[in-house]
Amino acid sequence: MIHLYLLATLLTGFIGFRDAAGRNTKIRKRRYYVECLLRALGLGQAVLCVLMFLAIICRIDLDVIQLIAERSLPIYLSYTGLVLCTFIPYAIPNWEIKSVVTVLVFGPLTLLQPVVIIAGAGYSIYPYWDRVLEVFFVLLGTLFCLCFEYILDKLQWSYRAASLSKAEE
Amino acid sequence: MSKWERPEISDLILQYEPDTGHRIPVLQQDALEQCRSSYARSVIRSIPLQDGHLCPEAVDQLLVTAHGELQRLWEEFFHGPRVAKVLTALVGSLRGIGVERSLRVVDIGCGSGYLLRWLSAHGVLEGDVSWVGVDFNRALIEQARALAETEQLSVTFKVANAFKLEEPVDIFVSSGVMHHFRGAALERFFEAQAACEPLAFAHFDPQSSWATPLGSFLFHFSRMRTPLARYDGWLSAARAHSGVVLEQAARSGCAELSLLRYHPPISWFPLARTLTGIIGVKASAAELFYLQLDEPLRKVER
Repeated sequence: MIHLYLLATLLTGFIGFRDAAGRNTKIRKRRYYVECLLRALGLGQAVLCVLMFLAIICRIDLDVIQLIAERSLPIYLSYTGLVLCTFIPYAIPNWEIKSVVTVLVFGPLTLLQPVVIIAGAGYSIYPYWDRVLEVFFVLLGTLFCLCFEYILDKLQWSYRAASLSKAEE
Repeated sequence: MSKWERPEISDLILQYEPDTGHRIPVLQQDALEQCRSSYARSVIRSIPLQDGHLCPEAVDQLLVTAHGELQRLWEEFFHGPRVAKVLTALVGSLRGIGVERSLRVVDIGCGSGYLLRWLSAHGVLEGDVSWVGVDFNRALIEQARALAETEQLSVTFKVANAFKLEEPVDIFVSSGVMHHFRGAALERFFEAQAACEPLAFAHFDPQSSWATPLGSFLFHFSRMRTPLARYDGWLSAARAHSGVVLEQAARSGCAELSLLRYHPPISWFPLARTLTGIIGVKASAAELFYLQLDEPLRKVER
């Protein structure tokens, strides 16, 4: 289950970056990105803690959750591996290669992300349909992953951080 | 007519008198009638109205937001370093033929001024050139000015026609502007530029190929949030001029300068290029420029 936790943490980091991008029109904005990333990671950790708390008070069978998590791992790890591997060509110091990787790889992988999340969840809970509470819990986690970017967008943290960083200097 | 030969939303909701630069009120009905896409029509319908006209303040707000998002394209395509390299070589070659004065570089249709702000922030050609960004849209220019002031950058932004500035212009640049000029208007663009007698120019636009519409769709629909940025960003690349069209227009409109294609497409692998450029430089400096820039370049025959 620790693997799934780490993957969810990584996901919140990526989404935090995505939520920050395209809002701050300044040239120098490294600090802004770091702040947005940390906020997203913080919120992600808070929600994961709430999920764990819910799991405990609802007396969810963590062994079943463990089995579901193990079943979903190959799908999520493959996707994550693919995403991380694309940073290898991206590291080549050539603008054209970087641009092409951005268009042809990052774009489609971003669009594919919700499909992978749903597919992973569907595949992993399929044999455990009779465990209603555990399945509900997994679906709650899946919903969180799917809606995390929407939540960040609605919270407008990065939008406000972008405005603030303009006003501050 | 190409199936991509349709206007972008920003072309429909924002119109200017070309000679005076005065803004023309746009009737929602007129904009909708010229629009072939239901997606674009829904964006236009979402803009508040004033007596049947699109509310100018709402249009400006939409444009400022969309331009902010579209800045990602230039950031992720490393446009700043790319232009820095080209301009450094251009200025170097002009210095090489004895041009010693401080040079004025004008960015045509600069929007919120990303390119010049980037160049200034990174100290490109510091002290050697002055940067002037020009656009018809006051809201975008005000945004550019505010951003430059915030980061203490020495860039001047003006609401004006780039070809009717009072001061002489030495180098014209543009990014993502050329595809807005269709047919004879593209030739007139180069003719108007030539009338200003610049020493050089460098215009960049998305690379046109069979793969461009798909690549552009993937990029904009996965990254942009506002529907305007998605649609216009995608369409601007999809309807980018082919190399032949660009070269013909530049040839007919710029007889005084030697022409080069920057990053010409690779016929067997068109996906390998995202941006292209057409560069003109004073004939006596052309060879020096060609030698200085270690990037794929092709001389355009006359």
